[in-house]
Amino acid sequence: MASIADIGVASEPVRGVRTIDHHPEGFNHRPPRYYLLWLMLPAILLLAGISLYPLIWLIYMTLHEVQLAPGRPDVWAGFDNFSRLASDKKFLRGWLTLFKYSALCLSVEIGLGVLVAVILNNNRFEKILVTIFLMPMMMAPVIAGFLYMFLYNGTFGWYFWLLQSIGLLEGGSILGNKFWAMFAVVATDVWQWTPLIALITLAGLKRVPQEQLEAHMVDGAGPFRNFFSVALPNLYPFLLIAILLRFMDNFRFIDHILIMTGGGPANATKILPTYLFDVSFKFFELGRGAAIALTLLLLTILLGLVLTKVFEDPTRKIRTEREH
Amino acid sequence: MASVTITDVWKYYGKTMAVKELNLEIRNNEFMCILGPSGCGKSSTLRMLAGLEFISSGDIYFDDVRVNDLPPRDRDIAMVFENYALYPHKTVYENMANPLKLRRTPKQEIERRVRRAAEILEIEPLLDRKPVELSGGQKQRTAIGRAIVREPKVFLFDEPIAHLDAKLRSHMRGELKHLQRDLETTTVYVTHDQLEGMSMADRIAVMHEGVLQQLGTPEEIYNHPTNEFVAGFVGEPPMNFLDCTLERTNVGLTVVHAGFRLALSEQQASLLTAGGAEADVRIGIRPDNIAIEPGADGALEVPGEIFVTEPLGGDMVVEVTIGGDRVTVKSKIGPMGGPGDPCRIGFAVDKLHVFDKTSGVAYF
Repeated sequence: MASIADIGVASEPVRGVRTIDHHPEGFNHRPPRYYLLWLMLPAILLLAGISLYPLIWLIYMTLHEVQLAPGRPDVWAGFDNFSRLASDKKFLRGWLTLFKYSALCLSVEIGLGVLVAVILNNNRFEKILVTIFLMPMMMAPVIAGFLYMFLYNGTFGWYFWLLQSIGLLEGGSILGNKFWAMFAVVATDVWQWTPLIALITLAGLKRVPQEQLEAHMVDGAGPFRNFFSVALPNLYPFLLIAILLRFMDNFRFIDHILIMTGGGPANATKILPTYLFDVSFKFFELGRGAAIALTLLLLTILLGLVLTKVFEDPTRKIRTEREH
Repeated sequence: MASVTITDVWKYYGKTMAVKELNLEIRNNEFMCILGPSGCGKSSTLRMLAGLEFISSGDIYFDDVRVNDLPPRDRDIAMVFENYALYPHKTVYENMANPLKLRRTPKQEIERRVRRAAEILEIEPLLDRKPVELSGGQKQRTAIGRAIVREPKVFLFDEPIAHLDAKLRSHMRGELKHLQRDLETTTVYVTHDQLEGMSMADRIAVMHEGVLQQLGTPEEIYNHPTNEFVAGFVGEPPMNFLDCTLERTNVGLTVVHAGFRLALSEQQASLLTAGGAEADVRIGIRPDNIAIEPGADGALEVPGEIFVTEPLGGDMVVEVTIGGDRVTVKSKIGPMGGPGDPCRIGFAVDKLHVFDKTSGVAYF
């Protein structure tokens, strides 16, 4: 008699069952691969045109001293553009500032976004509140930059007045202060992009199986335990998308920083992309700019891969392991 | 171990009434089955017992303690969900250990209890697996394991085996019943499958449209249904119902149908008279209580015509047309003929049920 744990699972062969051990010739013939290539070709060509071509140009530029005057040929520079970066203090500081900026933005946005999503979830006014919350996201980042620049303004800025009234700020100006400027640009990013995290998390919360939450409650968990041990693990794939999006955006969106501080004061908010902007479009050292851009791109990809690994859905991991 | 008392409990969602004026006492260590079709309020009742649903009106007591306002974690219950509700990111061991961990049980004690439960359920080799790696039956065992690692006051089962395949389901019925007797814990088991209720429960509460229809032992429910709904819901194949009229003759009361006449016993007649039965009634008789023989000239009293035969291996179910109505008959398998062939059937009059035609209430 088979153990009852085996019921419903194909395990040991049952005595007396007819089995077939051979299989027909030409088992599971797949269609040839080149057939698939033809199907994908239009998409590949389009993609190559809009992204591969510029990338190849970018790599070309990193290896040359690009000349701006018409008719003058670019000068081959080898890896000079890269080797000079190693001793470029502004470049290294740009990285540090970028990490500081991105870490601040991400942690505040994730924390706030998840909190907002939990509050909104199954709220009586959920629909209308979500609509209102999404408004900052609909704004062009440049406009958000201008809006906050005026709010921080030392003469008539409302935030300036508020911070001064509660005694946090002693005179001076917010954007001109080396300590405050970073928080000021982070706050702008948080204001504009927390709704995105909240929206994605809210979608995730709707997918948390109600029965698991209930089972956990019966098991003896209170609301907080319930959130951290059941809802949060189920949210991982959604948080991954949110974090990936925002972290790459942090590396790309510099509109509000350019508007508000231009990287100042004293380079306090000069994150690498702003420095890249300066090098390429203010000093017009296009070769060096391209080298910075390429390192930025490679690191973004690398960090993206690391993040995906860290946040991988544990159940999916098992499933893929089993398939291989 | 506790008794559960439900007094005058109502539940509504918005304007929808889910449970109406439910009164139910579940005795200590009893296996109580709440049986009914979907939407009858059985799950709402269970969820109110668990504390997962607010009680709109009325009270629920565990022993003498009113639990209305207690959250699930303070009710000392264990529940098995229809879809198992295992935590996908935890192993089988961690799933089962969860209720103990949340109650701050010492580590060795958790280990001991989880191993013991796994042993009872024969899932020891699976303890390190995650739920995605389990079959339906194994998942269900894990879910039960999570419930039995503690010694809760009450077990709550919400259709725990509804999603298993038929063979495993019939196996699990026996397992669960044995387990409940072993653990001696008050159990409330919700199902829409009358077979589960009949085979496992000490007592069954049949519900329909939010109202408790009948409370009794499986034997009482099967043999003495209080109304047409209970009679039709319990039993497989279901009971036959035929519209008939009552006729008073010099020997007593007779049931008259277009295809047959049945003389009722004196006791049956007096029950009908006492109940104030009108001339139009509905009779009910189970397929097992009808005898059948093939051919037009047998000894049985009612002639009929075969509509279809369904052989089931050892038994067979035959649908027979009599006087414009169709009745289902269950008998041992044998030569019966095909559709359109004549046959004769006979009713076991002592197993007859008579219902009021409008209200559906049973006279007997």
